[in-house]
Amino acid sequence: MRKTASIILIIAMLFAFASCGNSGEPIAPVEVNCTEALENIYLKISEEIPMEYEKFNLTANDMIDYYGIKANKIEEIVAVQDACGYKDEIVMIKAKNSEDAEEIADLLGQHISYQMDSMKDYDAEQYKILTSSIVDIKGEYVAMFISSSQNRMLEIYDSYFTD
Amino acid sequence: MKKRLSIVFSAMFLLTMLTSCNTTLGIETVSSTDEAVTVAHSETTVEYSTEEYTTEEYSEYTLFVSASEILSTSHVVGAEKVGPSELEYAESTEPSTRKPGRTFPTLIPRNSFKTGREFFDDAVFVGDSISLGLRNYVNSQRNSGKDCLGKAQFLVAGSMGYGNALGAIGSSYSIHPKYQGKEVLIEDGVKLIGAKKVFIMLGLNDFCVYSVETGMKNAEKLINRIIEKNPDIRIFIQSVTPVIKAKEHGKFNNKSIDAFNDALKNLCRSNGWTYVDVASSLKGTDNCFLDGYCSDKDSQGVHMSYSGCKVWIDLLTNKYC
Repeated sequence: MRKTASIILIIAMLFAFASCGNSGEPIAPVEVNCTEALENIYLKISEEIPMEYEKFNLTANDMIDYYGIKANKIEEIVAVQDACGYKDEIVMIKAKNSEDAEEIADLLGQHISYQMDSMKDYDAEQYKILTSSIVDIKGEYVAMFISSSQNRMLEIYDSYFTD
Repeated sequence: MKKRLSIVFSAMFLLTMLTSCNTTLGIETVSSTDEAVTVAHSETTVEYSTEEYTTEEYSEYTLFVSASEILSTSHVVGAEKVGPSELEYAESTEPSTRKPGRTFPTLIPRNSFKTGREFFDDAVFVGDSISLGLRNYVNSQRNSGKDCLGKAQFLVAGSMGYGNALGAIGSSYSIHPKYQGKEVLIEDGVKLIGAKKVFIMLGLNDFCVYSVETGMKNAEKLINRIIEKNPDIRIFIQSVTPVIKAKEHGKFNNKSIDAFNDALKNLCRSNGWTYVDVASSLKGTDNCFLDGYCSDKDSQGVHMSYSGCKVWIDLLTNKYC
């Protein structure tokens, strides 16, 4: 009797585990709602936090040289660097899809690491900023802020997203 | 070939009519057979003007050749106006001292070579954070529809120097540029781009770290690596740019930068590379970086504003286009 009950319980557990498994269907992408065009978000950021130096606005075609990001993965972009080329950077991208967004986020993360290696013995202040820089990804939207005011930039950016 | 050589020598005779300066130039003549090419060397005294010399048909230019090409007026790959001081480089013309990228003085018909912005189409600019600023300026001009250094590309990285660019990728002390998102050795990046001219501005991250002697050894080693991977490359070494007076401290001063640049100039002379003096155009009478050209006066005092970059670009454009 006990043996039979044990077997029945084991079989029941097996069915229970099976029902938790991946059904094979694709996972639905995270849906985010951005309430403004990236350009308008940038205008808001730059009004409150103007760049210290002259600015250079990158286009989608520039991104391959600067970050290794292919233009055909970008649907919408605002990317700005200071004239020095190694201080403040703002990159906000809406990718074509979630997969592209993840790839872009990975490349931007690599960029931060690369900049840290360049700056660690060169510009202590910039290195410190880079150690706190992050790449934010929300669905198809990816953002990177490198600035002494990067936390406030991210707050402003976040305020335009609703669940 | 014979007709062209006749034209060259006729032009040399015309030059003797101008009498501001004179120097002895080594002029090579080339003849070829089916089996071998022989290079003969002859010397002659030529008088030339210290001002730009032009005639209806000829201008005084330096002919550039690649290592794999025979000196010939039909193989012009570029041209540069030659000033009197640069003719010194022409003294040694023995075939055994010929090196890749070496320049030889000669006279060539004005319409047989390219001038204009296309001079930079096959150029790559290699540099440190100073050149990061140049890249941004150039791209901002191009994005607004203006021609700026043709189609020149960039291999640049902040804090890169002649010394740390020698290290292997991934080593703790090395700095390398990126090409399309991937770190590359400079010589490999030049090859990937397919550049035929390389304009190098490094040294700001070397002159305080190494002695001048070690700095030059590193520079020569790096440049020879570029040449080895890219035998047809022409080498242009740009001077290290200055620092503003307020940010001079310790060894980090314009006198030390000048000493490094003098050594670079001598290195170019002994290797037949072209030295480009960018620094002088950016300095005031106090031998310091002009504040108006500096973008980080409150920080390091060495990086360029857009107006500084414009001066740099204008220098290159006026010199080579």
